[in-house]
Amino acid sequence: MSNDSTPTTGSGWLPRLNRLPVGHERLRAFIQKHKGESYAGYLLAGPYLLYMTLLFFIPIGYIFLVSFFHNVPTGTMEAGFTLENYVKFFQSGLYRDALITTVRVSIFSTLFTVIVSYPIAYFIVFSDWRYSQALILLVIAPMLVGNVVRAFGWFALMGSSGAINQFLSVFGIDYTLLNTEPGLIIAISSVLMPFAVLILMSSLYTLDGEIIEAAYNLGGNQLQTFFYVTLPLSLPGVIGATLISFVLTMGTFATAVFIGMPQVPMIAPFIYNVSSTDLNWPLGAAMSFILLAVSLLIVYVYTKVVDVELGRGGDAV
Amino acid sequence: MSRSETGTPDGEQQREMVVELADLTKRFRDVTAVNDIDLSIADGEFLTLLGPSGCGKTTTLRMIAGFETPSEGVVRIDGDTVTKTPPYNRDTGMVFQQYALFPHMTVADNIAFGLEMDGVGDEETTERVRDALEMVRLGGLGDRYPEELSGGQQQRVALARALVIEPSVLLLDEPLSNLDKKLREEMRLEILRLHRELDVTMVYVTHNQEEALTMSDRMAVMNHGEIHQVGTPREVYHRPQDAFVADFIGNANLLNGEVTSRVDGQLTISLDAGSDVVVDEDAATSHAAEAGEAVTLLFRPERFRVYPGDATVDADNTISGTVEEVTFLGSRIDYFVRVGDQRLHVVQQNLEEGETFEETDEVTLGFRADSPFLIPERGGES
Repeated sequence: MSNDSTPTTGSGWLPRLNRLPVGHERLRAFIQKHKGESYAGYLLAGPYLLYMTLLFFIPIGYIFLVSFFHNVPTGTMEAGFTLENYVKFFQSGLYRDALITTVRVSIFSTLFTVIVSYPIAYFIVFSDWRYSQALILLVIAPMLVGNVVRAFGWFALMGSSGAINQFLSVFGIDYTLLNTEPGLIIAISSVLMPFAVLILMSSLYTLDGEIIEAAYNLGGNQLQTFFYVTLPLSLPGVIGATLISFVLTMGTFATAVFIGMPQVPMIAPFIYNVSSTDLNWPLGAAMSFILLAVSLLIVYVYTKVVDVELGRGGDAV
Repeated sequence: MSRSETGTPDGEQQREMVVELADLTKRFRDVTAVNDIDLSIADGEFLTLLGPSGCGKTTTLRMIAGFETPSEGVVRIDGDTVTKTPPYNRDTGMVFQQYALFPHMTVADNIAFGLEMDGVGDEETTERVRDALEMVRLGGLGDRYPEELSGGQQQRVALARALVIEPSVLLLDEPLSNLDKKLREEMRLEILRLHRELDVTMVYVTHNQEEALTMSDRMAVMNHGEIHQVGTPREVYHRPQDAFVADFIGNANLLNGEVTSRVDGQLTISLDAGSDVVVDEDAATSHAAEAGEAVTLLFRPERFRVYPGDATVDADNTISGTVEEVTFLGSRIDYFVRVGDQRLHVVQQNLEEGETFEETDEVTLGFRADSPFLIPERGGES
């Protein structure tokens, strides 16, 4: 009997054992031969490690080197070792401001995103409403539009003659969101929310419904049950969502250019300007490294604080 | 229909009803999970909801706890109508199949949770938590986390957590089904001990008939969202209301026949399998059967005596047949005996004086006039 003529039943889209691609015997033999060895992990991670090494670590290392080079005004640079680029950065009030603004906007965007996303994720996971699953599509729909297009959309909405302004003027309010920090935070949050909602959802989905019922049964009302049981148990998701949101905001470019600049200076547009307009690559490289270092430092401190605060609960993270 | 009578514990009318369910129905979209049930549970009673999976027993329990809102009908706890009361305002304690302990809290904090929600003071909470731990024999484990405990220990914590709030009724949803056999029997005794010592009303959901028979004061047998019978384990086993109950509890031989005469409290029934049997009307049926009525007779396998086919048997009734299958189980031997077009399940205790039989042996089965039970037909229902 030929395997190919076997009618497909049940979950037909799953790969079936007798339908494995040609050569799977050799693959299996390869796995059998190496799976017990100590290097097996590296073998599995190998393709990814290779990719990261060639396309991330080596270029990053090169940029790190460049950040110590001396800039020659004609758009070239001189190999060597100088700290002048870093000194220049910290001597410039403009750049320092941009860094501080970037950190502040990142923190508030993260807070705003997670606070707004949690109820959405909670609703999608726990609601009995039959269309709640369809909300997932709605949440990720903005991702289908590129960042630049979306930022331009916000630009049009928030501008002095945009829809938001016109709406507010009905109530006699004269307030323009464009080029303000709240405006930038709202625009950035729209980029972050799909990520945050998906991460929070996956964390809420793993919650055991009976544990929440047990809390109700023991007399905890909705608020008590949420703050003593649901929220603590979903903290891994909250932490994941904050980390992703924060790191993404630190490097925001398109939204920062359209909505924030120049009144709300973010660091990424400056790096772009310095590297491609001024053609000062060593300074751009140094700025990139300062951004990277600040991001890593804040993430590190945050995870340490979270670990201590949660105490043993942190084990579940 | 006589079902409502059995909804009240016999001879317990003076006791207070802790839980009362009236005309309770639960529909999920187009599925009726629980269909118009009535049930009253007395103070201090241990009542089991028994039935196959999907019979509505867990849904019934969840409506008592308040996790499901009935589509129709009323739930009363301690005389108060709580049909739409949220679970946190109901005086119930619940023990879940998967324990449902709070993984981010210590054992002591788990048990203290309900007391804290009630606003009990710190000192009293500490004391009651310690007592509760002692009660379930977990003294000294209060600082552990649930994941550091065995399944049996976790279930004890779940019991302590539900009992420490002193609920009107303790609801248990298949609490032992995740434990291995030995632990299950140990916990069964533990739950009965707590029931005895605390005198707390318990409603226990299980699909395990052995648990229901050994633990219950009364049991409610459910199927397809309906309660088929409520009664003591003995009543349900010996006097099942219908064929489903007879078949679900224990092993049953159900033989169809027709009543041919009714004389002096004795019914003569002509079995479709070919024999005539005489049964005591008092013992054998709960309703007055008339001559000409089609009936179903229940024979419990252990109520037969097995004799060689050619023996002269001194019994009220005899049926002859051929042994088709023998299963040796140590303390007893199971025979499957062919009688006409029926196969009878017969259990013989493995006594030293008993004669045992092999496949193809001709045997005579003897039984007393009061041992079969005549199952009433369920009038008008499918």
